[in-house]
Amino acid sequence: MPRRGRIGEDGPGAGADLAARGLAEAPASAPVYTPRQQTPVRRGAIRTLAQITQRLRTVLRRKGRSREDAEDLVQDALLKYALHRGEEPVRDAEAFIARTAFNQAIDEARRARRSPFSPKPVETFDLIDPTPSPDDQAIARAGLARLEAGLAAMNAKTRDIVLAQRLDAMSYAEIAKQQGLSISAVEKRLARGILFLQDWMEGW
Amino acid sequence: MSRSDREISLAEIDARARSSEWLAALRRPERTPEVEAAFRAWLSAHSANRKAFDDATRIWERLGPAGHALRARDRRRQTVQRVALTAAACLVVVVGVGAGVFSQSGKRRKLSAA
Repeated sequence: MPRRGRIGEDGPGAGADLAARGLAEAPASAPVYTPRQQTPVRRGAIRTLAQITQRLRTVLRRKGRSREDAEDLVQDALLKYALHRGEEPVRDAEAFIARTAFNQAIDEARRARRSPFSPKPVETFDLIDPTPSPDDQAIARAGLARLEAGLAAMNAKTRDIVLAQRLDAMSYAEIAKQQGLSISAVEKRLARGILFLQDWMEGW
Repeated sequence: MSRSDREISLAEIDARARSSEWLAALRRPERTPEVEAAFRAWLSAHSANRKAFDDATRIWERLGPAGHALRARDRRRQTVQRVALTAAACLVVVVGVGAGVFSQSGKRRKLSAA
């Protein structure tokens, strides 16, 4: 469903037209809005349009509508009210607007339940692919293959020590025992292996 | 200019050698406060040191997947070799038995013909 323009944001023409119909949203201090067809208002005092819409927004928010949805519903209802009023008189503006908004809310909720799709256009979603880009993946793969080749090119005994430490989490003492070397010799071998790989990976 | 083309400074060569030694030293089961302090002092002594140690650490991290890949490749190669060797042995046996059987049956045929 396309986003509707706000009443009052439709440019000077539309705004002026609505204002002429006595529909422009009045600030709180503006004179009290009086329907043209003056009828007894049910809930006591006559409300300004601003008060009516504010109340309606609050009720819709309390019914679990998002601020944006509530605003849309109110604007829709106001528009319908404006169009309807041109054809025949509306006796109770607040009741009309509220009923229109609630019906619309029920309709939308029903439609949303029936359809598995989000009512928002896809362009408004933030679609973030957490996986690295194909380029980055290719670079990473190439780097890994290069490193693997470096391991294969390394002195066999040094490689065994490096992999025993890195993959098998063997301590220097355990490796020393297994290889028949001193602990410090194992550590030196490991350092030499890493240095070899650092040179091997230069520029990667 | 790619990184591999440029001249590597003496500071970088030294930093690289020291970084591998530090990485190995920090893999000891016990990390004493003295070693930790000396390492931190070295790390902040030169920007080349930090860079070299970052490189070494990155290689160390990637050694996990690279090492596993290498071992898997070795295992596959050993399996292929074993299968090939077994197949070759089977072939020798089959050919040998077959040759024996046929040569014997041939002999028999020759004998009966005689």
